[in-house]
Amino acid sequence: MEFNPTRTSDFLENPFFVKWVKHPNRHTDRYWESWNTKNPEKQAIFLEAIQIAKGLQPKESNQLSADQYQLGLDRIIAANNSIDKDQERSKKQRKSQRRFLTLGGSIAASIVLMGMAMVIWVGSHKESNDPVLVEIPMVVKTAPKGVKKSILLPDSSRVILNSGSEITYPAVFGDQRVVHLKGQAFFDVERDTLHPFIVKSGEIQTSVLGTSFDVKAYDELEVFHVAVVTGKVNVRTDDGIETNITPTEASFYHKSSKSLSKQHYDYEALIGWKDKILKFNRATYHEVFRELSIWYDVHVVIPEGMILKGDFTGRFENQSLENVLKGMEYTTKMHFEIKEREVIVSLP
Amino acid sequence: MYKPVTNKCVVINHDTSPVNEFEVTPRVEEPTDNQLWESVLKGSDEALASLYSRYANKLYNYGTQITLDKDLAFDVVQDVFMYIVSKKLGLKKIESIKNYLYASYRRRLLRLMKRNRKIQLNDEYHRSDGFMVEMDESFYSLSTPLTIDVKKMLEKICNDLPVRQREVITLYFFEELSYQEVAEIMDMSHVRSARNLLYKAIANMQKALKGKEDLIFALYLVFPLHQ
Repeated sequence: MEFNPTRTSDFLENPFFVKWVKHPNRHTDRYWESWNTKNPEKQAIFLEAIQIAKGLQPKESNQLSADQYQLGLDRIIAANNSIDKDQERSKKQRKSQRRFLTLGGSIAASIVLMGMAMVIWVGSHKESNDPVLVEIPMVVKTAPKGVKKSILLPDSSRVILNSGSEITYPAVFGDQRVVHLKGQAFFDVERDTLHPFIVKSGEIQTSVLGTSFDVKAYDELEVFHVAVVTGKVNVRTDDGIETNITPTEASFYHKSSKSLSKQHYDYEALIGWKDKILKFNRATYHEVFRELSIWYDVHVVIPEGMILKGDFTGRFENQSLENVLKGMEYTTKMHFEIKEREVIVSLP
Repeated sequence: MYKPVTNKCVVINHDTSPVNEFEVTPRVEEPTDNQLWESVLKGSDEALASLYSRYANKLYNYGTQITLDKDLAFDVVQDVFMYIVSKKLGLKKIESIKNYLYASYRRRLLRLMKRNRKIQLNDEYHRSDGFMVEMDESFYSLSTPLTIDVKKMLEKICNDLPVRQREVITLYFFEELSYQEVAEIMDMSHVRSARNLLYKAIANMQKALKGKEDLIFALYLVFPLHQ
């Protein structure tokens, strides 16, 4: 039968439509998309309603702290095991009381006990085939120097992994989507308010429900950053310092002082890497060379005794190492020579 | 092996294209709540840990909507799980695990709050601003004529409802529980009481949106009442 609404409420009396808004799948998607193109006059309200339906969420999602959660779970698991011991103890007590029973009685009792043991053995044997006991393997992905990688996570979130970085995550996510990052990556997270997405990197962790953001956390760096492109992000240090950041804001973690700061950021300088843009804003030469060596997989050789003073500002889009170095030669007094995998720096 | 550095650049450009290097991991079937429950009753630590990870934070969030005492909200999560562990052989078969957990959590929390209030005489103990909703602004798109203000209006009228009506909305729409389950959790004697309260909440919101046909339509889509 053709669905031909004349009033808005006709949509609402159509359970198929309501079900699609709440739980769409690709078949119903196709149906309603084609319905929509055939009924262009209803399109505006159609889109509005769907947007609202998807955007309205419970305001708070209070979570136990990682410590509380672990402590709570440990106690419960401990209780689960100590109760078993208690039951064994009371079994032993019962057994000792039976010592005073007649021989016939004790034979009967031991048969009963054997039967119990069998039941327990069969029970525990059965349990080992339980689907719950499947161990979820961890997946490790690395992008070596000179290479960037695009990765699709089990929840369909996308990650672009920068050169010289490593990401670890379970093959299937549990209640929390936890990934571990060494280095730098850009995350585009599928929205799922019930399963927070958490990036653990060094001493900071970043929690989101569904947004896109960049995390830079190379072990050797003094300053890490988390920069938000869309949505809301929570950054928290191991010491419990935390801050919420929103689009155009970035949070910087200073390792030596273990402090977090927050400010607006330059998109290209922090996230340009994923669009092949290499941008430096008054960066020290040490930073510049570190960046180049990871980006192009080269080793920068600075002759002993050479002091690199000042800073460098420049922007390169999709350039070869030669061009980047040529550009740097223009604005600095330095000279560069490329020898296989080495860049040798000299002053004229 | 010598490889010109320029070639390396081409490799980089190639590798950043998002279609390259796709890794799709196979999904392992997750056990249902009832499967977990059966294993928990048999004493499985793994199943217990899975059940805890599925519900500890949800129950905690539920509790913190009712009370300001976060430690109490956490303690009651522990109590609910400890009860299951200690009584596991004595627990009968349960139809909805989620419902059982929410109902026993809420009952115990309210009982403890009542007891504590006698001792503390603290008015702020009971929250009246829990179960609020929020319009996520990242869902704002320029493709529709709806402005943020209009969306915020829907958020506001929902948050203006009495707290009990907001709780019904949270349980029914966001936790996707049935009328019967909502009635059990909120300690109502009849299933129809839950249904009535929910209809009242929707009617209140509709009243607040009087004359705004489009938003009423959106309201029904956000909170569909048919089964």
